[in-house]
Amino acid sequence: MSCRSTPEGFTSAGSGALDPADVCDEGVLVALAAARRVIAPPTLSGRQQAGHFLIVALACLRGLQLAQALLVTIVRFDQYRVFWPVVVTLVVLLAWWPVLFVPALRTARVTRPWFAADLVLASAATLVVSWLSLAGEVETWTNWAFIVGCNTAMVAAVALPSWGWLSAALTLVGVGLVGAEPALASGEASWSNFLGNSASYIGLGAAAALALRHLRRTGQELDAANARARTAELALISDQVRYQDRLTQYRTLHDTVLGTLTAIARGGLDLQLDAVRARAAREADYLRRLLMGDVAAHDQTLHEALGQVIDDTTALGLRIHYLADGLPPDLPGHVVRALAEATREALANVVRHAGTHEAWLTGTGETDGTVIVRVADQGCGFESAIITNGLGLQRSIRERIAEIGGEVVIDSQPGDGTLVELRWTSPAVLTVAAVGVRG
Amino acid sequence: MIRLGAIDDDRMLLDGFAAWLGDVEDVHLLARAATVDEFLAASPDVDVVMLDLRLQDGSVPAENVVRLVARGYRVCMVSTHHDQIDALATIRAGAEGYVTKDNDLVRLIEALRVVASGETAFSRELAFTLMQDHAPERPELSEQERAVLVAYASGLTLGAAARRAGVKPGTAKVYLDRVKAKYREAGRPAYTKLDLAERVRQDSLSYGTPS
Repeated sequence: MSCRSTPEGFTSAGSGALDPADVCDEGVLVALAAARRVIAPPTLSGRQQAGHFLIVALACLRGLQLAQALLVTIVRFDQYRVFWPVVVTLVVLLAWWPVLFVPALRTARVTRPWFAADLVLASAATLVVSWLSLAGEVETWTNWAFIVGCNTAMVAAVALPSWGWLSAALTLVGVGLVGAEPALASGEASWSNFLGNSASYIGLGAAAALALRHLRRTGQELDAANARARTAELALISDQVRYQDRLTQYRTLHDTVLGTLTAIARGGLDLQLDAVRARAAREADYLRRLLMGDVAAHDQTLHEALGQVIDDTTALGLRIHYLADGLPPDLPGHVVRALAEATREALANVVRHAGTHEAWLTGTGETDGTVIVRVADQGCGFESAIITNGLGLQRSIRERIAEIGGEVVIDSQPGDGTLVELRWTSPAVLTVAAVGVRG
Repeated sequence: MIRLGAIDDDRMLLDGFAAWLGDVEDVHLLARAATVDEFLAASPDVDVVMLDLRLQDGSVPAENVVRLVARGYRVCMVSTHHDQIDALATIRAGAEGYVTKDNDLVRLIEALRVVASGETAFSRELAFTLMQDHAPERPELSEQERAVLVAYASGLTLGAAARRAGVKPGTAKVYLDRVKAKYREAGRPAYTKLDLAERVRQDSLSYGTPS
């Protein structure tokens, strides 16, 4: 997925800080870069890119249609009963053009209020131009408001869900009928032309809806393929990590248990010596932990474990900004492991799905004994309500944290980044608090 | 155009920074010094001073800020490693920005532009420091101020931070500025202490009246 990322460094985002590259460039390049900043959306998933592509096409089409309307108005100025209101209508629509499309291009979607405004303007234009065209011209090129209406019918496909575009198209047909009614009643405008125009609204709306559906499906497949590729890459890395772990274990075994056993086998070692017995006890403990799979993170603080996760994930090309404060050094091994592995998965999700190369990891120990780890990115985001499975959220994050009695809060919104918050409170603290309340 | 001064005892870093700034049209590095004394002795005509948090002359970071601010300079702190206590102290003392050196140069310039424009350059490190301030004398933050601070310090954009904190979109910066103002207010009594006031007075005797 070719997500573009424009990470926000400082809170001056609104004041329009320039890229150093832009500062050096001149003339046309500067203008192009400026235009790109205005319309370039932040980061888009394949599915979001489908909508963006259609919006680009519709914005260009609207431009051409308005140019055509301008030409018609100039050439056929004598075909209107009153000329100036038609010009005013056209100027309003020209002014509306960037207002509608610039935010749409930036966010890769058309919001409902914006679309409603477009529908109202297109309808008003249809009424004004229909009523002011000479009766014989109502269903000809002179009535250019029809062309703009066609564009609105297609924008509906982007702005409204499922069959919403049809209601917009039917609204435009209805408005067209009201506008053309006097001319149709007097027989000066032809019904066949009117029906042809009405069919255009519905046909173009349907075409746009179909195109968008197809593009979105392709985009989703692309997203899924990308996610699969990233997962494979991650699996490879985690294999390497596991191999490294195994290697470390072998080395430790060699340095400890094997060494001790070899020394005993050679004979001559006084097994009753306290030092020897203590060493045997220590190494038996090590073997026991090894069998329980508790070795890798043993004695590791959360800070160290997170450091390890950062090292591994940085290898995937993710830049991680890490800040930590007050992390308790004595968390139980299984808690450290669960928090670190859930963090690893959350960071892996950034690599797989967010379409950005930057993530923020913060770990804090609160005064009430709660440990909070937050993983944030400024990437594509997703509908938190819809997607919880398949992103590794259910299995690797929620279940892992649930097992240690912690909580997970996931907050995301399309185009607005994602925040995964892991919280764990020591049961000891909880018990003390409960006793305190009772006492 | 931003007229910039830099106080840092790391010559190599300063030279590299100056070379890099050569390509940036709207920022001019007009003065360099290794200590605040050296800088004030030259009293260069600049708007923003980029001040290293820990100078080798052993000077106290917050005191350096107070002396520069008293002379009418706007100060942006730059530190090699993040030190929460010093970061807090310099913001209380009147610094308008705080950036760690691991940020890339583009972000550093961005921060300097924000400070030059009269606003606060709120780095994540600074937000995180304020969020983790548990000192008894810390100013009281409202629920929304704290929520915006936490979301921003966690790495979200301002827009996402506003949404998460449940405040109007576009107002996140207002909440962050309010947090800073509270810290500035709380810091004032500490830096009007007699000895520091005396230091500032001596500066004005030795280096002329503040511009």
